[in-house]
Amino acid sequence: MSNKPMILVVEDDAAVRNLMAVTLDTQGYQYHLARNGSEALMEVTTHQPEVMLLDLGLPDMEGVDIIRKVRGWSSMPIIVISARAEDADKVEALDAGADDYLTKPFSVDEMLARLRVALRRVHADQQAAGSETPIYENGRLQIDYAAGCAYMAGSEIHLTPIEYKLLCLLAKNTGKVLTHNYILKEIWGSYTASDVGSLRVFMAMLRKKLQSDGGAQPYIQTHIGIGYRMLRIDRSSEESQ
Amino acid sequence: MEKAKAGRERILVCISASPTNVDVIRRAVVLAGAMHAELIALYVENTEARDEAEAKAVRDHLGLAERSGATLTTIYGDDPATAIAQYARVSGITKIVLGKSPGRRSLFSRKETLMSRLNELAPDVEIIIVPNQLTADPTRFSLFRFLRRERFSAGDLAKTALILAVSTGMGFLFKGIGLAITNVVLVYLLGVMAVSLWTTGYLYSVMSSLLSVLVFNFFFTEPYLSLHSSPDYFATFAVMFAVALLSSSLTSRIKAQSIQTANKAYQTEVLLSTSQLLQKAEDREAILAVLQNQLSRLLEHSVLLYPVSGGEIGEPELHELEQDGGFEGIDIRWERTISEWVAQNAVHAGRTTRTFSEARCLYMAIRSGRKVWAVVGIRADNAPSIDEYRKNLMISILDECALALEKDHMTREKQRVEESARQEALRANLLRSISHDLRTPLTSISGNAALLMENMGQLDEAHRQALYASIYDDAIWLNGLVENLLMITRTENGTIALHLQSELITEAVEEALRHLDRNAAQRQISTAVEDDLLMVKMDAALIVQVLINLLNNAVKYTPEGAHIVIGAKRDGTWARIWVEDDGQGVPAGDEDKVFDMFYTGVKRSPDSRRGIGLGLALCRSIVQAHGGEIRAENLKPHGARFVFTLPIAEVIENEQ
Repeated sequence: MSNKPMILVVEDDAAVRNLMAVTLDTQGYQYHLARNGSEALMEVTTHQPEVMLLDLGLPDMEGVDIIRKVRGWSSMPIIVISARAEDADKVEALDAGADDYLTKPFSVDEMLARLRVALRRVHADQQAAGSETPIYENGRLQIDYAAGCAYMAGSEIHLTPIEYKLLCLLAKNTGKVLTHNYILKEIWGSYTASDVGSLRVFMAMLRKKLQSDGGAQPYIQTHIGIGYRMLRIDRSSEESQ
Repeated sequence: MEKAKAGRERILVCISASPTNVDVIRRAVVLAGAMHAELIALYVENTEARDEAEAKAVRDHLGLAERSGATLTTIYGDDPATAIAQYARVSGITKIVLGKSPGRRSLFSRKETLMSRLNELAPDVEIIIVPNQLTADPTRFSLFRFLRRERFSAGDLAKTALILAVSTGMGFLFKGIGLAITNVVLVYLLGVMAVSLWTTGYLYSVMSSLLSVLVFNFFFTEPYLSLHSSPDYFATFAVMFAVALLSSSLTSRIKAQSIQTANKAYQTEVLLSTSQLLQKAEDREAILAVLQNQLSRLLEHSVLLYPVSGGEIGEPELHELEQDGGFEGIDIRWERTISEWVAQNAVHAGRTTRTFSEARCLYMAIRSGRKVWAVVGIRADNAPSIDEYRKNLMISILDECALALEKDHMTREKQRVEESARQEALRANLLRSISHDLRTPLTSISGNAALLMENMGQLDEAHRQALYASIYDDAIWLNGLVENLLMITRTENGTIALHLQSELITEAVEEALRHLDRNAAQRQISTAVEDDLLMVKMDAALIVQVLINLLNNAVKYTPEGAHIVIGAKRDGTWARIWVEDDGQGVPAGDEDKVFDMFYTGVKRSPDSRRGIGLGLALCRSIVQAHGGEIRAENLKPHGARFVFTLPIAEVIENEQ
């Protein structure tokens, strides 16, 4: 039992908290529940959960402040939950260090899928912790950092310098939603409004090149109005399709 | 001019510079008070020169009349009697109050008194004479007074001397070539006319008339070079003097009239251009800007403006001119206090008035009735003072501006009332629809859930599944409704704040396809976006909502198995995006109405639930906020297409 992942659910609404608890229970996860920000911070320090599901509208604290506090000592995946009309809040939370977001009302399946993505990131991080590998592998995608080349199913993908930089940035943050602003800052340093348009174009080109192998699942996910994310692709699930 | 209202007397009091005028005004005020009549103070401005003392007297008298509650009016006319009579006729005056005057006795003018002429010209109007209790002004009609009026000027004196000299020279020339002596007389007459034309005031004309006769006598009559002459010439001198004097007087009058005409033309032009500009001005700020501009152009003084709203004055707008130093070195806080006083009391104050005359500026209220719209301040301490003529013109402009502001205010007020009534109706309609549309799915959700809780054992698997699905569908439907309502609150109050960014249409389409109803699975949905890199400026959340609404709409109004295509292509600087289906199409003739709020296709029965007609209305609001257009059209042989346009975003690819 102890090797089952521990999830912390921070949600002030009893009904939604209950729904999440029941879902996690049926899927065999361990979980702790917190009703507000201070409880959440306490739980994080005492139980050291692997993933946190954080509602942004808490009664006692700004969700963003909780993220910043947690990020002070932990890099555990944080998935924020908020209503759809508040895109700006989500972007703020992501920029503060959250990994992913869920939009209310979310389906149970969606929540579980996001959880799996986050847990996969945790495992990948743990495996990579010991050895600083110069080769990145994700499904059939390979990046050779030393050679500065990317391969799809063994054959090289021809990328422009910017596309390669974008790919590396996304690969290093696999599983995490990167906001437009974050990407622009990382790739272009400073940026202007016109660069937002070019980012869209480069991303579209990059996605096309990665998808040309015919794989059904895209490696890069678009979150319109928010940003992009590199998904961790299971090699086995990819090959079975 | 407005006609006299039945039963209400309108009393006119004539303002003049005469010291007895104060008494006349007081009598008129008492009379107006006793009769509950409206009092109008009329001042006839004419071409006769006035000195400073007289101008001040007129200003004081006008001020007195205004403080006593009279409406001030100034008209222009050379003949006061005609002007007053005409004004009395058009503005429905019933009584005229006059001081008893000895009649104007300027040179060669009418000797009749104003009273008798008025009697003749306006027989319907009652004329009330206030007896003159003061003795006549001792300086009146004396030479001293005449001279005091005249301004001496070395230039004019030199001109007179020169013209006389030239006339004399020509006289000698004529005499030398043997022309008759009468020709010389005519030359002098010509000289006198020239003098009166090129100099100001009567003095030089009279002087040159006299000198002409003397010089003629001295040089051209026997004995020459002496003022003695034979009595034969006395008649010539007398006639020559009379003709010279008369013609100079006529010339002066023509000159004065031409100045008056020019002034009038200028006034008309200024007022006309002001009213044209005011007509074009679209709001309060624009009106005030026009006023400020016109005033500073007219007066050539710096002008400041305090807008007034709710009795409080706002931040001043300064219009500074270099020639009077703008508002440099003025204690704005102290001057502001005066403006506040003006705004509250709706009268003029500051420099050149009785109240706060130590101020640097003259402050005037722009008002209609007692309502003050703005306070205008004119720097009046270090520039030439504003003459009566410009002052009157300025007051006309202020009045016109007040009218424009009042009109603007009323229009705005009316719009506001209409808008709030419309919003109110919309809100009531929305609430009615929502409460109905919320209750239906909620009834179904709670009912189905209760059924599942209580009869778990008796229901077979298939039934339970159907109940679960129904609860799920209703919840999803409710969520869609809430999304649209949230968007409506963002768009319908007119303050739609767009977060515009360049986005790829393909990405928006993909996002929309992820959020479709479950029923969409039974339709064949395909995409036809011409160019993957087609990018438009959009608020992603709003445009995705538009696409979701259009797609769900297509799903809702088509049978299972129908084909739905979502496509986009470039059209000049616009992207054209469409959703088309092969269903029944839009009812013919309703292509525009489908975008109206609460339109739901067929007339719905009270219990049917197919949506409340918000979706397409919202689509239109959003697309229009982006500057685009949306329309619906029917396809052949059947089906509907909804097309909207968005501006293309051009991208400069930035490879660092």
